[in-house]
Amino acid sequence: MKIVLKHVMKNIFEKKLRSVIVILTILLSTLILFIGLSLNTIINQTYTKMLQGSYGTSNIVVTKSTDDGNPFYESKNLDVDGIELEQRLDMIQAKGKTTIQDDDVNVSLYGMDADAAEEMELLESVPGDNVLTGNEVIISQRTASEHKLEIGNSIKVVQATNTYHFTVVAISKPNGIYYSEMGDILLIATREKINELYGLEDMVSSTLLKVTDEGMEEAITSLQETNEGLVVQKSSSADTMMRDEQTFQTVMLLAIIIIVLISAYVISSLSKLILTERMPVLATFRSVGAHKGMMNRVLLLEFLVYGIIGAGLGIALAMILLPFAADIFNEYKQYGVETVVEYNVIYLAISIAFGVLFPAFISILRIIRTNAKPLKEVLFNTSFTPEKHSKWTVISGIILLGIAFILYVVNQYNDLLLAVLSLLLLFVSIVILMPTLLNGLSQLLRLLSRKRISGEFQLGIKNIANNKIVANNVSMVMVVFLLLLMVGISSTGIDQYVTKTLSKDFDVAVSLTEKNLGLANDISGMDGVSKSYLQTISIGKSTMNGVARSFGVYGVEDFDKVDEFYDGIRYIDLDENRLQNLDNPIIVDIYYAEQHGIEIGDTVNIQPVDINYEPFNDLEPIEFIVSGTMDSSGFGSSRDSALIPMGIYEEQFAGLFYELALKLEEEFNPDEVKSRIADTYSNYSLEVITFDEMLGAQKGTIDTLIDGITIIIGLGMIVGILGISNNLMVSFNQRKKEYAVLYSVCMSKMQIVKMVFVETLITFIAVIIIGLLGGLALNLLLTKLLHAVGMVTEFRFTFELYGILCGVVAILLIVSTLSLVRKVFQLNIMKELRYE
Amino acid sequence: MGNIIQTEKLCKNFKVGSNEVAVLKDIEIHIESGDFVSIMGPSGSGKSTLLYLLGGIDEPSSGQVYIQGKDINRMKDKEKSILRRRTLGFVFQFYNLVQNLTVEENIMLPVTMDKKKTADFQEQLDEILEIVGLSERRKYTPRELSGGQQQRVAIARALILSPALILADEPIGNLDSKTGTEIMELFHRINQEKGITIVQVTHSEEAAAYGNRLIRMKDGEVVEPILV
Ligand SMILES: Nc1ncnc2c1ncn2[C@@H]1O[C@H](COP(=O)(O)OP(=O)(O)OP(=O)(O)O)[C@@H](O)[C@H]1O
Ligand SMILES: [Mg+2]
Repeated sequence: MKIVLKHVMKNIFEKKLRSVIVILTILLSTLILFIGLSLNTIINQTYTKMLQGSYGTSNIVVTKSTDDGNPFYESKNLDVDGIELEQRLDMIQAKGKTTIQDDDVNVSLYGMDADAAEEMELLESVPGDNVLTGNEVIISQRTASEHKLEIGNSIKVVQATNTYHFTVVAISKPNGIYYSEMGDILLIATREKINELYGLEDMVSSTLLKVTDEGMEEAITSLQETNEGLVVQKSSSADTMMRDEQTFQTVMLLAIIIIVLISAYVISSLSKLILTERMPVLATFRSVGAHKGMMNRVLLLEFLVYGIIGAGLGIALAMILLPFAADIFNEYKQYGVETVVEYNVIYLAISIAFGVLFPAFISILRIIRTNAKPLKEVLFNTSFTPEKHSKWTVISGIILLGIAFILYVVNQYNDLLLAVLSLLLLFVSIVILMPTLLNGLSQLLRLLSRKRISGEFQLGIKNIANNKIVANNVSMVMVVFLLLLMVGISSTGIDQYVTKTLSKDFDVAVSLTEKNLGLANDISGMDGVSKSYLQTISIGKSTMNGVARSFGVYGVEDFDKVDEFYDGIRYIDLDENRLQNLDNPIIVDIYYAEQHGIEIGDTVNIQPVDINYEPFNDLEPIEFIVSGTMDSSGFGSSRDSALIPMGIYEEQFAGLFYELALKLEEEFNPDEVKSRIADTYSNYSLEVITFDEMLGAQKGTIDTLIDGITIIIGLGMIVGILGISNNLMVSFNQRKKEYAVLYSVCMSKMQIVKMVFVETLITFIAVIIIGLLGGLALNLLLTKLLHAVGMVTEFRFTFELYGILCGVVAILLIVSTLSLVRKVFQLNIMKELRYE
Repeated sequence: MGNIIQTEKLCKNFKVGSNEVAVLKDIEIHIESGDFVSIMGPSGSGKSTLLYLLGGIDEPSSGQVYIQGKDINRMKDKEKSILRRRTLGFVFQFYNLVQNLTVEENIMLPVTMDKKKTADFQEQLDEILEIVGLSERRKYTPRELSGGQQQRVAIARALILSPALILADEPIGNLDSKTGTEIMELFHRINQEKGITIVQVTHSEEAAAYGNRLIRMKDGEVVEPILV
């Protein structure tokens, strides 16, 4: 055993550069795998933490139904009899203004028991003294540092016509409720003090409750029954953030898969090269009596050692880099949300297993295949074999390529699995067909150049067709090239969607917690608002042709008004008669209709569901008659909107979201209107957002995504380049003898260099041509995949990225050719000729 | 006729570890145009080394090699390559064929590299393939041939441009005696009919007998140049 290990170590040290490349590849892939897997959880946790902010550990939130115009209720009026409460926190809110260093700043005032709030993780004050009295308030660290406030300082707040002076007695970390602080100042005072501002006593605007998770549903139902006039909700559903979690996860996952594929391909081709190099030596051992098993163990051990070193270093580096990487992806940093970094043991195990075992696994496969060959073939190095253009390989390649496209055509309902399979087949068939494609290119060039060119050029062209190593190189370049192109096409497509397709359908949008027409009317009547529309949105599920999907169901009063108000919705075909006379008409997206071959007059069944996608109130699916089609791409990327009349909506669907969309008159500034709304209706818990903010948030998400993807492309490129340069390097070692022979019988070194140059040039031409064709095919098949994950938008082949990638390949080829040229001139001809 | 090959104080040393080992010591030989010379000597006496020096594939430590009166080591790489394909034919101890080219393509290498039209050499190719007995296997690659067949491809490659001189390192060392005899007959014929000078290294007295001159080597020195 010891002697075997010694041999392994000697092998690794002998070829230093090679070993470094192998280890670096394993290192990078382990690193990316671990970081990629961890990121998703981290981002979700960070997000949860951020959401948790306003509700802390509570799971039920009670607010006043605002029908009577009074947002407050008495604390004792909340009947919690028979409910086992773990925690309770009553809150009352007010708004005001302050002037700090000549800046007007909005102030949010919260009245609550600060100790109870800290217990609920709504705040985390640093000096620990939370017992507030009189005019004492708590501020956040952010406010403290931004406005240079300290404990003991005083803040003057103007509310309505009165002025109040508060004293800072504690500073909280910017967590919990302070996440919502953003540019404002959030003060926590006693409930009595805030009541005093309103001239009230013992009133609250909301109450947070914590009950056991199991008892929650029951508690909500019972609270709803006993507390008429109050709204009781789960904390999680009370607030819905605009966040494209799905897209993010999918793209991340796609990126991880791609990196793993690139690494797998690189490792696999490295192992192949290492084995072909080692095999003759080991076979010689075998021919003098060493037994097979021992030799196999030597090889296996070598790959295990590579794996252990690479994966070990990779994980160590990943541990160090993870917090930084997670920070890049933390979209909520601006809200002061700290990144929650957690090292997940399972992900750690997966990454280590991949890094350590994958190289060994691949090499076992190769060893088994090599062992199947007779000793003689192994002895006389197989790597010089000319590429055999076996009929069956070509046929199977073409069949696989055909299946890839057949799957594309057959996959009418955008099934994810079929889409992935078809993409995978495309890649496999390209690799299988590569030698044939190169042969074709070589034949074509030979035909075009018909003897008019000199011998070394002819030989170079010929080599492209015959040489296994060249085909291997081009395959490698191609796979990495296409994978990167794939990431590029997806991310530019998504970016395009957000910046171009998303319609500007409101200037300011207000989310209401319930359908409050009075409030909506009041807001719509404000100065500067030219048009308004109150959107009522719910969710429905439907199964069509055996494919389940969900809809955003919009309850609509007047179908014409929707069309008129929203640019994002464009009617394509309407049956006015049905829309007017039926009580169950529906307008579906053309994308959905075409996919399922639905025509006007057909029936669709939609199951109303609640926010958790469970059937709403145990209702059965409802029958609708398709009465129109629309293009709602400006509305959402998944094209899953459906419009139904308000009557049936209110009867059957859960009222989940209410959004009042406002369009403003030219001369009004959305930000000004936004703050006016927030000020005027400060008693209501309204979320007001301008279009630019919404777009900014979406753009922000996309930008983080694209940053991430750029990093991944970069890393993928590094892994790819490592693999490719290794391939080129080895290819020189394997062809040294060929060069020596050519030199000794007929060629000058210059001619050899010219030949190498021609080979490089043709390789580059192949990359350009196959890259373009493959890229176009990829674009087509990839679109299906992205549609399957809900990104229904146009994905265009990105010539910029294609150009950049071609450029990178060109540079890579030039650099490797130059080093090759140097090596050719330094080649020790004698050594190559004399030893077999 | 003049000397096609002439060497002056040809020396070759190899560095083994830290000490220099003299493999060839002051070799002075003259080979006349049209000669058929055999070099014999014990294994390790420097025969192959000498042949590589004569072909300009290796460089001497000191001394000169003149081919047709020109100092081969003063030539530029390009001139040397032209010399190698037009004037010289080299047959190696280990056949040294280009593995990914067919028999035909291997044989035609010097033609293609000399910017000559391969079409003009079809006749010669057919004739040579006939001579070496590989007409049936012209589309094979070297790996699909036996050692003797590969050697014959190498000989055909050396002959295709009808060079003035063939340098052969144990051309029949790996062949059975019948094929060996055939190849020797072939060498004899081209030497007689085309006046091609042949220098061969051999271990076989029989093969050496086909030549008109014998050079014996021992420990890097020419012992007794004998005219037969
Ligand atoms: N590159 C080298 N480095 C060191 N020594 C070398 C090298 N090439 C040849 N030699 C030595 O030079 C001597 C002559 O070698 P050469 O191949 O010329 O012998 P040879 O007469 O052809 O033998 P054989 O009949 O076995 O082919 C040998 O002792 C060999 O060890
Ligand atoms: Mg020899």
